[in-house]
Amino acid sequence: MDFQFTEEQRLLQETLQRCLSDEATFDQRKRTLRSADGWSPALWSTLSGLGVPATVIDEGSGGLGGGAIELALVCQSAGQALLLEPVSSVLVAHAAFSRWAPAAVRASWRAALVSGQQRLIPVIDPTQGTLRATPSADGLRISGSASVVYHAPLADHFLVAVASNAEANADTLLTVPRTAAGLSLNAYQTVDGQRAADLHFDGVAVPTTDVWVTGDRAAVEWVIDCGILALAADTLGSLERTLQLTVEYLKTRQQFGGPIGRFQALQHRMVVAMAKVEELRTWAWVTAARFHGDAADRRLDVAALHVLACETARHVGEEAVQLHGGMGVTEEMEVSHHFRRLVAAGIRYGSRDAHLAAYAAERFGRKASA
Amino acid sequence: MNLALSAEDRAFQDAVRAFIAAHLPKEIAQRQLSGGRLEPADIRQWQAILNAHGYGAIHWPVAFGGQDASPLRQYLFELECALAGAPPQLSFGVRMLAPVLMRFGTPEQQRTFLPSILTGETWWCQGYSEPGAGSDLASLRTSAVVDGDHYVVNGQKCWNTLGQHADWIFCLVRTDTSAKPQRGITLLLIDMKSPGITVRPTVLLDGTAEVNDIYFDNVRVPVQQRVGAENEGWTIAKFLLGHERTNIAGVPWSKRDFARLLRIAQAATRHGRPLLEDADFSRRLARLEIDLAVIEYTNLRMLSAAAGDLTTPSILKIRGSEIRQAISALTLEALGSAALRLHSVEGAAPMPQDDLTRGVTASYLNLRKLSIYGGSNEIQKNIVSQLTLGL
Repeated sequence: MDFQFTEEQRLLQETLQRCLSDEATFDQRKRTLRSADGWSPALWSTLSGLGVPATVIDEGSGGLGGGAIELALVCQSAGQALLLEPVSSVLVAHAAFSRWAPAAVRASWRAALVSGQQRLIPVIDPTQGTLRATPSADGLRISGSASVVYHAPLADHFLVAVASNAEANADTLLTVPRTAAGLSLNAYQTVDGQRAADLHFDGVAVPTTDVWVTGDRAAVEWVIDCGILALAADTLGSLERTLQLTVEYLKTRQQFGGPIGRFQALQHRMVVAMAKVEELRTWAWVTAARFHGDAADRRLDVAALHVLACETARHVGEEAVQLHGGMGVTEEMEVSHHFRRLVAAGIRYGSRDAHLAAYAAERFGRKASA
Repeated sequence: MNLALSAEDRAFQDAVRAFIAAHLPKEIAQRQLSGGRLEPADIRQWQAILNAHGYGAIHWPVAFGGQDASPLRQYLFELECALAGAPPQLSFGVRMLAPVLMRFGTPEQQRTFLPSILTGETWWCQGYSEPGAGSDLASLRTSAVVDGDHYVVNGQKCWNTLGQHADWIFCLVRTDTSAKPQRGITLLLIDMKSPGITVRPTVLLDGTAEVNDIYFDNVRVPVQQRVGAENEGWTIAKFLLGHERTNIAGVPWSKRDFARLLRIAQAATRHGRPLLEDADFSRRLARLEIDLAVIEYTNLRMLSAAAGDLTTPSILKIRGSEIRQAISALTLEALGSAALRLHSVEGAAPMPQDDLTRGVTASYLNLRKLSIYGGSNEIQKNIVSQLTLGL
C-alpha cells in the first residue's frame, strides 16, 4: 500500500505551484475580476506553455498521459490560487477526450487541445438541465437548455452530454462549436467570480463525425465523475489555502492585549476545521487512486467524495469567515474570495443530500439487500 | 499511489485469517460478536493461543519474540482479530509497558518481565490518574520515598482499568516534591500482592466495575523495580502514551461494531420493511459508513511511510472515538425500545435478549469513555492547536 505521489506527479505539482505563486497572485486576480472578459488569456497561455492542457491527454495524442491523480493535482492547485481561467473544465473535457473520443476525432483535434489553443468546455452536470438528441439525416439534432455552465463564455467548443431518448439519462457524448447555429448563450459572473452562461440549444445540428459515444450511460457517468473529482480537488486546494489564511489571521490579529489565537474557543474551532480538511484530503486521493478501477466502486467513492466536499466546503468556509471577524466579510480579504468559491462548490453537481441518498440506495436499498 | 496490498502483505493477512479460523475458540468468538461481556479468562486464553503460534506481540522486535511487524501489518492483524470476534489483547503489557522496558529497562528487567507478557501469564495494569490528576497528569501526588533499598509508596490511583484482575501495576509516583511538577516523577513496577495495596472497584454507569481506585499504604517496592532513572518518569510516560499510535483510531473495533449495526438494521423492521431500507435511517447509515471508510484510510495513510502531509495522530484519536461513539448511538436507536432493558433482576426470569440486542445499551454507555480517556478529545485539540497550528 503506497500513498506517495510519483516523482513526476510531485514535479507537476511543484512546477504549477511555482508558476501560480508568481503569475496568479491575489492582486492579479483582483485586476482580472475587474477586466471585461473576467479571465486572463495571458495566464491561460502561460499555463498552456507549461503543458497544463496536455496533462490528462493520452500520450498517443501527444499529451502527458496523466490520469485521475494528475487531474486532481492540477485542480487542487487551481483552487489554491483561486484561478478564473478554465483549467478544471478543460481538464475534465480532455480526460473525456482521451478516454472516449473516436480515433478520427483524436487525430484531428489533438494539436489544438494539447496546445491549449482551442478550449473545449464540458456541459455534463446533470443538475444543469436535460438536453435531448433526435436523429436527423446526417447526425443528431440537439434541443433543450443547460444552466450555469462554468466557463461557457470562454469556450471554442462544448463537450455535451445528451439523452438519446425521452426516458433515459444522458447517454451520448458529442461536441458542438460555440458558434453553432441554434445555440445561444446568456453569460454572467457567478458567486465565486467565474464566468458562466445559460445555454439554449434549439435544434442544433450535430454531424455524426462530432458524436463520440451513443447509448452508453457508463461513459457519461465516467465523465460526470471526472467533473466531481475535479471540483472536489479544486475545493481541497481552496480549503488548504483558507486554513492557512485563517491560522495566520489568528496569530496576527491583536485583541485584549495579544493575538486572538490564544483563545481556546477559537483554537478548537480551528482544529475541527483542520481535521475535516484532513479527512477530505484522504478521500480525494483515495478516490483518485482508485478511479480507473471497478466502475461501481468508483461511483460510490465519488458520491462519498461529493458528500464530504460539500459539507467541508460549507463548514470550513463559514468558520473561516467567522474567525476573521468583520474582516472576513470584506471584498479586500482573500478569505472572502475562497469562501465564495467554497459556497459554489457545495452547490455544483447536485446537492450533498442527493449524493448521500444515491450512496444509501446503492448500498442499502431494496435491490442491494435482497 | 497504489492502495492495493502488496502480495506479501496479502499473504500475511490470509495467514492471520486462516490461523484465527483454526484456533480462535468458537465460544469466545460467539460471546464477542453477540454483545457478551469481555471475560478476563478469554483474554488470558487468547493471549496464550496467540503466543503459541508466534502472534503474541507481532510488533515486538524478533529478539524479544515478536515479528518486527510493520504498522500496516499490525493494523491488518488487529482488523482480522476484531472482525472474527477475538477479544482485544490487553494493551497494558503488550503495547504500553513492553516498549518502555525495551527502551528504558535493564536487561534484568527485560528478562524478568517480558516473557510473561508474551504468554499472558502476567496481567499488567496502569497506575497513572489520581483524584487530583486527570488531564493534568503532572500534578500527581502519590509519593515514593527511599528507605534503604526500597521505595515506600503512599497515595491513591483511580480510573485503573481492570486492575482487579492484575498481577502487577506500572505506576507513576512523585519522588521529588520540590522540582517542577514534570521533573519529580518516577516509574515503578509494583507487585499487586504487596502488603498495603487495596483495590476498590468503581461502579460505572453500565453497572460494571471496569475501573478501580487503588490505595497504597506504606507499600514497599524494591529499588530495582524502578524503570529508568529517578525523576525520569515523565519522559517515560510520554514515550509510553506516544507509543500507542497504530490503532489510536480504533478502526478494527468500529468496523466490527458497524457490521453488527448492519445485521441489526436488517433484522429490525419499520413500516413492515427492514429498517435498513428506511430512507432516513439508510442515509444516516450511509453517512456513518463514509466516515468509517475515511478514518480507515486516514489511519492507513498515517501508517504508511509517506505520511508526510498528515499532521497528527491526535486527529485520528478525536475522529476515531467520535465515529465509534456514533456507531454505538445509531445501534441504540436501531433497537428502539429493546434498548431500554439493561439488567435482569435477581429472583425473576432473565430479561428477554438475543444475539442482536445483547450488550448494545451497555456498550453505548461504556463507550462514552473513548472521548475522555487517553487524553480527552479537548486535550487532543489543545495539542493540535499548539503543535500543528502553532497557536
